[in-house]
Amino acid sequence: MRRTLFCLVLCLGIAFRSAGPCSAHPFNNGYTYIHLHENTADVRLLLPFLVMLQYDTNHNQAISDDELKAQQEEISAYMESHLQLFGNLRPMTYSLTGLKSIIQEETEDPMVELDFHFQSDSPIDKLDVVYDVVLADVDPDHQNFIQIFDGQGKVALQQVVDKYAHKLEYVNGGEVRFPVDFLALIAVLGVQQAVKNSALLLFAAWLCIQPVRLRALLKTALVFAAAGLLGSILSFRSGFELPQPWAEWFGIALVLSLAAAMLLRRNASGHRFAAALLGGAQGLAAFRSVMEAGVPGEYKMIFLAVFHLGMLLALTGMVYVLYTLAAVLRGKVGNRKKENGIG
Amino acid sequence: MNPSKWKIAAKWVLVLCILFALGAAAWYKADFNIAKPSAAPDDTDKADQARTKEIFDPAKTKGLLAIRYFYLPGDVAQGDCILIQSPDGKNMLIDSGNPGVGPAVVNYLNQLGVNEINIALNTHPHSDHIGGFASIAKAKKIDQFYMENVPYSSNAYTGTLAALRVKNVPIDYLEEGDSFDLGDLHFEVLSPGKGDLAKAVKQRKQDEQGDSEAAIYNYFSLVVKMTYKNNAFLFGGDIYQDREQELIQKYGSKLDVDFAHVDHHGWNTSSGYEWIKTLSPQFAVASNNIFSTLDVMKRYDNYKTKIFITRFNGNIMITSDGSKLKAITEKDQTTLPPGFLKNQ
Repeated sequence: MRRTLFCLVLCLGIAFRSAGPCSAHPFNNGYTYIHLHENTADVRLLLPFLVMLQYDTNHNQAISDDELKAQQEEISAYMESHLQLFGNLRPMTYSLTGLKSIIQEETEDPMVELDFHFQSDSPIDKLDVVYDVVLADVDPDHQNFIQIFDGQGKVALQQVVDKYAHKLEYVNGGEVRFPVDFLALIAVLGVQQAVKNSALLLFAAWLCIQPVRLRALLKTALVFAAAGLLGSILSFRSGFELPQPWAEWFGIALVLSLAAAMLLRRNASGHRFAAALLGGAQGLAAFRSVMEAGVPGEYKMIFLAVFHLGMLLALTGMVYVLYTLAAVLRGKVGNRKKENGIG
Repeated sequence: MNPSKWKIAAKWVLVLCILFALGAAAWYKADFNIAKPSAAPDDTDKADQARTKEIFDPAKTKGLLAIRYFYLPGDVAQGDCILIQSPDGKNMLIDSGNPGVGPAVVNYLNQLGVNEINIALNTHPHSDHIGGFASIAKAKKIDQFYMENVPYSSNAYTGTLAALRVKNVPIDYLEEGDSFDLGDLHFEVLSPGKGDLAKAVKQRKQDEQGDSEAAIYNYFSLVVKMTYKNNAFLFGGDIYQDREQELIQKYGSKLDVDFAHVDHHGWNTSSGYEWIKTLSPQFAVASNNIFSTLDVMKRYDNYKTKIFITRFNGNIMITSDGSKLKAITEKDQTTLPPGFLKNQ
């Protein structure tokens, strides 16, 4: 009886409750619909209240049209710098054409609807979308489902953008071109991994104190890179991955044992074998980091080769610098020995 | 300057240039955030089609327990819809997605030759869980409808209740301690706690509107444990990590299951580390047709659970003979970098 009464009271309460937005579930994802025309793009962005609460001035957990209207300029300025469209690699001019609070029909979720008009100077062959709305300053877990519609209103491309991937590239009426700029980034990643790798730095230093010519050392660097590429291919084929710290510790141990062997036997042989071992270990560890950078699967071999080319360039550079410094030091030591009448 | 001095100077300039270039490369913050765009949907190759056929072939699962996660199509997040078929051919539907996907679910049921739903269970009244039942109730015979005893104000909710009323479907309310059977399968309700819904309703009235009220409904989702011989399965609706933690305290090893529904569509709000560790499922499935949270997928993967998501895998079927589980997915996950998930 008490339960029935409770439900009755509750139903009445809900029936007389003022009509407010109902939320299907707390969510932080949004939707973007881009309709592409010859020189223009009309964009509709839907963002849930949860990521727009900074505009909820009366703190009632909802956003009214009045609140949006009062802050339209601020919102427009924010969006201009956080949602950018590029037509043929040139920034398109931006205007906010609509701003209102809606209930999304299908999900019954309360959202803010923003309409934009983007204009390009020339017909758009290639469209780039850079989406950074709320990701950096409000909610890093925000995701947005972007759909691009072609001139006939057909979905041409769709993609979720998030903190991991916030750029979208669309080539009008054709395939997306080979990502050359990304290739350069991967080469830089290779250089970075080499420069920040203490084992490699030690190895380069060890190489430079060998009594061999610079050209021979550069060949050793080539062996290192080739072994690295083979290691990465092995990692890809077998699924085996060497954790990066292990690869680094292995490299350090290897260089230390080589140095010890050199001190004991005064023998400089084996630096190419050591380079092959070190390169292989680094390659086994590097495969994952290359793929996690978002390399397109169909081009992975090219990207792996470019990554190891970056490592080769870095190692070559390190060897050249250290060899030059070592030569100066050797010269000075030689001069001092001459002055002291030694040797 | 004589030529040898020029040579030495050039050498040192080169050394400086190399140092500068290496330093710049080391400090450069590379932006790898280039999304891999996907073409418009509906690209299915022959292998995919073969597996689709297998998933929707009732003869393949005769005598087995079959759990099917339907891929709910659309350009908004469509929610959950799970069909459970007992080895003796009885059918249960857990949730039904948004109202707009009701016809798609009916179509899936038609493909499977399902005309009678013995039990329909709604975990909580949000649109993306209850909405599709309206279309399903109109097209199929529902023998029994289970839900929470809590009224809700949305078109999806009222539309479904109206459709159930028209078809005279009996509605029963569930809470902790309740249990029921579907053929050989036994179900036990673990959450919401006895009498807790009343508190939820009270809280809702206090909050009036906005986000927090929705979080409360998710918190009080029906959590159901299903047992078939030696296998156990857990369906947690949209509960968050706070509720997961409470259930771990309350039930402990009872939550150790072979299969787990990934709570709240795989969002970061749910699937805490301890929850996954306690459940330690062999398979887990998240129902989300558009979004995926990689951190959550990685969490399951770290505990050696094979995780599937409808966004990547399409329709997903888990079968059990009472001791061994098997998973078939319509599509392979190809979007994530190879090696991102180690146990897939």
